[in-house]
Amino acid sequence: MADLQSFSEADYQEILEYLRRKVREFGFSEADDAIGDSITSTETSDAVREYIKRLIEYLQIFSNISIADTEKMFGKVFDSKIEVPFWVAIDSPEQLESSRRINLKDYQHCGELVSHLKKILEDLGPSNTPQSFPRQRPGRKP
Amino acid sequence: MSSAKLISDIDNAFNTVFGTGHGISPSLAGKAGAKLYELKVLAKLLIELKKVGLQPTLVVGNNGFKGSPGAINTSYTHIEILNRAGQHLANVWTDTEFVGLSSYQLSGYSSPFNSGEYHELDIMVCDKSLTTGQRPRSDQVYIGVECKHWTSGVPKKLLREILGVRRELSFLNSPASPQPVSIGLGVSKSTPASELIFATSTDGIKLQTEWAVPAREFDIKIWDVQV
Repeated sequence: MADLQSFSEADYQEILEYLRRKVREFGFSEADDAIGDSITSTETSDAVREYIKRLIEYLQIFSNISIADTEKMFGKVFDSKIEVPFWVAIDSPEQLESSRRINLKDYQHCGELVSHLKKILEDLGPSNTPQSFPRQRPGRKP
Repeated sequence: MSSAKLISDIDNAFNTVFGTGHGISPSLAGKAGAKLYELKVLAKLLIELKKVGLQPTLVVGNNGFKGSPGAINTSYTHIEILNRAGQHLANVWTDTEFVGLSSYQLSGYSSPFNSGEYHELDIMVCDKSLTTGQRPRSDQVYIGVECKHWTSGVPKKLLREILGVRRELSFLNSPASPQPVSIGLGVSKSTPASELIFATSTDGIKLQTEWAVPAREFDIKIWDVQV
């Protein structure tokens, strides 16, 4: 576990901003906006932890469990031999030749971020800030 | 541990997961998350349709499910809804736009001129006769679903959004005659009597209380569909 004393307020700010930049860079801008707007922690050190926890919550959609659950739900509707394809075409729906197709099941890999984020959360250590009322939102968009 | 080390760990985490070899496009990961949630909600809707005796039948299109707003396109995967007698009643589409009643009904336009006259629904059950290039009018929409995979703290702007969708789907008056396909949500004040659902992955139970009055008065059902 990290030595908590080694992180200053500026360090936490830097970590939070970097993390948010990466999250946005990897296509999760909407999630970043949503999480950033909803953070209630007043201290940046806690805001980082809160941000990571909510990001983990958001990433559950990519988990094997969630995808298997969706398949099970489809299985209740269709003949069990029918596999519902998880292919989705995005962009330019009217112009099929320029539309990209993605297999949503490939994106289960995004769920692997969760274990990395849990480790980072662990390295940040537990919060030592007493609960207080929000005075500002350190989670604002970088 | 230094902050530099932690930042390096963050970097490594993202690079490991999104590195080459996984066949995924990093910039599309967020969109993929939203689509995965829409499929989960679609599965729930189909279960509800089946509960009332309807039979969903999968029609696999060459292009997968439609993932961006637009008109109906039969080359995409969709679902046909049949009744017990095997009669085809409706189709279910993803990310399809409908023509708002402000356009065709209030203005009298036979087809929309501008993008402001049609609106997307993440999932839509609509008239079976519509084909490629067409957008259903609001009276041809039987069930509409908006899906939001969110984290805690669903903002109130999403309530305004769904109220706006209802405004373009139906007039507020009663009594309303039922649409040909329904999952029995008890629409009582909307004409046409389309069923409108707001599905959310977090705060669903809380919103069923906080948004209860506008949701009830405007015939909007809030679904708590967790991931």
